Amino acid sequence: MEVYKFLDYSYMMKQKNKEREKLLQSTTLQEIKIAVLCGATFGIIEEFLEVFLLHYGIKPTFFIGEYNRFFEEACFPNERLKEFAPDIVLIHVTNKNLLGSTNLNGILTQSLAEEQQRLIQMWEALEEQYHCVIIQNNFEYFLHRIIGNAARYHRDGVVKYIDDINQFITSYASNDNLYINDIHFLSAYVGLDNWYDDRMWSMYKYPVSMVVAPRYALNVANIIKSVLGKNKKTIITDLDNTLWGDIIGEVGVDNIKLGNETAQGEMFSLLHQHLKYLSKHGIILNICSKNEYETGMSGIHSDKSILHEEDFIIKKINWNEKYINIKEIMKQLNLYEEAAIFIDDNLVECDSVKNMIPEVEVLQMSSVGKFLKEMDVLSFFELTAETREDEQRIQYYKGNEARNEQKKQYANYEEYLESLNMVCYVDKVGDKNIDRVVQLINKTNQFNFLTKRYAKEEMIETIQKQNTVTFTLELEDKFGSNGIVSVAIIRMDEAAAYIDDWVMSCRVFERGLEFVMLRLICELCAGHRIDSLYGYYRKTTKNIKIAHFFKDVGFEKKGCGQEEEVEEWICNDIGSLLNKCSRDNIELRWV
Amino acid sequence: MNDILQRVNKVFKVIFEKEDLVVTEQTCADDIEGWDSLQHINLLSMLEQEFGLEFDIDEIVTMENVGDMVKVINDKN
Repeated sequence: MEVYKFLDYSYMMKQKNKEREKLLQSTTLQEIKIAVLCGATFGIIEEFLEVFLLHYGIKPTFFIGEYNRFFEEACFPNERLKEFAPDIVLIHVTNKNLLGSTNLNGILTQSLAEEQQRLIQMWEALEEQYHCVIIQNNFEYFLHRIIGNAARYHRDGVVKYIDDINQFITSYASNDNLYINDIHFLSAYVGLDNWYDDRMWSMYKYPVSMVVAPRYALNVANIIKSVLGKNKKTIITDLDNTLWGDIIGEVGVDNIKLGNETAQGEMFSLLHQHLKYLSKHGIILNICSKNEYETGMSGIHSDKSILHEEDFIIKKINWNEKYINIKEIMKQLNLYEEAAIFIDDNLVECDSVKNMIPEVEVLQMSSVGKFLKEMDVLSFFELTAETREDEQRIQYYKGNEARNEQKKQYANYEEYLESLNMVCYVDKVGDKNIDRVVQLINKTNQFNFLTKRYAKEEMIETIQKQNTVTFTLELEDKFGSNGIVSVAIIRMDEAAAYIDDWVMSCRVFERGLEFVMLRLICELCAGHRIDSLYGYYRKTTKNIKIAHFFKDVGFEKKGCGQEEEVEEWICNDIGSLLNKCSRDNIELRWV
Repeated sequence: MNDILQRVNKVFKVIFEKEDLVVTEQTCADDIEGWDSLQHINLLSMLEQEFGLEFDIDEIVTMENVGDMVKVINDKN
C-alpha cells in the first residue's frame, strides 16, 4: 500500500514532485478536466490531488475558481469555465460558507431553507451548462457547540443545523451525477480538533489543517477514480496468516486463529466480514495459496469461517508459483490485471508477484488490524454508480465457471455455442438502460473502437440527435443473463452510415455477438437505402484485439479520420457484408 | 542558532525544490523566486513538522525573513 505513505503530510511534501514526474511517464493516463469551485482556499490540495489521481492512472487538468465565488461561478454564465469545459466540478466548501455560519443568532431554520435553495440552484445550473459530474462537499461540524449537548436538538443548535443540511445533500446524492465528498465523515475520522487549524483559516482561508490536506485530496481522488470506472474488481487472497492466523498444515484446522475465541481470531473474522460484504457488492473473491487443496479448504469449511466455499469464484490451492496462478485466475475471469488486488502475508511472495505482474496491486498483510484500516482508507472499492449489473456480476461469473466446464465437453466450438441456447435482446439506448450503457462504454477497453468516454448527460444528448440510431444487446444463455453487453451508436446522412461508437463487454467474447451487431447495422443501412458504411478505430494499448476487425470483415482503409490517430474504414458492399454476419446460434428478439 | 538555521535551510530546499539553495538570516521573500503567500504557508507548516512545534498567529505575522523564523523557533525550544 505504497500510496498510504502519501497521507503523511511531510512525506507528501518531500516526495510529491518526484512522484509526480515518475507517474507522468506512464503512457496510459486518462485525461480529465476538473473545475474546483471554491468557498475556501484549494492551494496545495491541488498538487496532492494530482499525485493521487496519477496513481490511479488519471491525468487531471485543473480550473481553480476564485476564492468564495463558488456560487456565482456555478450559477451564472462564465466564459472561462465554459471554455474549460469541465468533466468534473468539485464544490470545495466548508461550513464557514454556510449562510447559517454568519447568522448564528436565532434564525438558523430560515438559513437552512435558503441554503437548500442555493445548493439546488447551483447543481441545476452546473448540470445545465456543463453536463458534468458534480462532487459536492457535505459539511463538517463546527468546532464550537456554544450551548453544549443541546446543540444537537435545539432549534438553533449548530450541530442540528449541520445534520439537517447534510441530510438534505444526502437525499440528493442518490440522483445521478451528484456525488458527496464526505468530509463530515473525514473530519470525524481525524477528529475535529485535528481537522481544523484556525490559524490556517484566519490567515489563508484553508478549510483544513495542512496535515489533513492529503486525506482530503485522497477522498476526492477516490470518488473520481470510481466515477471513471477505475475501481478494483477482484481480490485474490492467500490463506495461512491471511484469512486466519497460523499455518493450517502444521497446527491443524482446530487450532487456526479464527473466530471470537481469541483476540487475533476475532480480527481475522472481521476481515472475513469485510470480504463478504465486498463480495455482496460485486467484488469477486478468489484464493491463491500454497497448500494441499483439501488442507487449505478445510479452513474455509470450518465452522469458524464466515466466508464459505461458494463465496470464492476461483480457488488455486496448489504448489505453483503464485504469479502463475494469479495470471490464470485473471485469464479465467477475463479481467485485466490492473483490476486485481492480491493479499498475502509473506514478503517474498508479495515481492515476487509485484515483480512478475506489476499491474496487480499487492497488499502485504503484516497485521490484520493495520491492514483493514489501510485498505479502508485507500478505498479500492469506492462504490459510486452501483447499477443492477454490478450486483449481478457475481452471478454472472459463477455462471461463467459453469460455462467453462461445459466448454470442455464439446469437441466442436460451434456445437458448444449452439448448446448455449443464446438469445439476444435488441433494444435502443433509453431512460431505462442509460446508466448501464454509460457504465459499459466507460469501462470497456478491449472491444472498444474509439475508447471514447461519456458523461451521462453527453449520452442523453447523443441519443436525442436526429439521424442517430442506437442498439443495445442483452445476451441470455442457458446459464442466465449476461445483461447488456454491447452498444453501438450509428449516425446516418443521405450518403452513408457511420459507426460513431461500438463497444462489447469482454464477458461475451468468442460468442459471435459482434456479428449480430454488425448485421443489425447492415440491415439498418439496407432499410434506409444507404450503400456506404464507415467504421472508425483508434488504437490504444488495450484494444489491439480488434485492430484488424474492419479489415477482416471486408472494409477498406480510407486513411485517417478528422483526428489523426483515428483510422477510417469504409464498406461499399453492404450486401456481402450482411452475408458474412449470419449467426444461426443466436436467436434475436426485439424489445 | 546555527543548527536551527541549517535545519530551516533543509526545509527551504524541499519547498523550493532547489538542492543548492542557501539561505541566510537576511533572506526574505524577495530573494527567492516562488516565495509567495501559498508557499509561505507550506514553509511554515513544514517548519512546524521539522521542529515539532506550532506557531501562534502573533508569531507568524512577525516572520518576514529567515532570521525571524530562526528566532521564533529558538525562543519556542
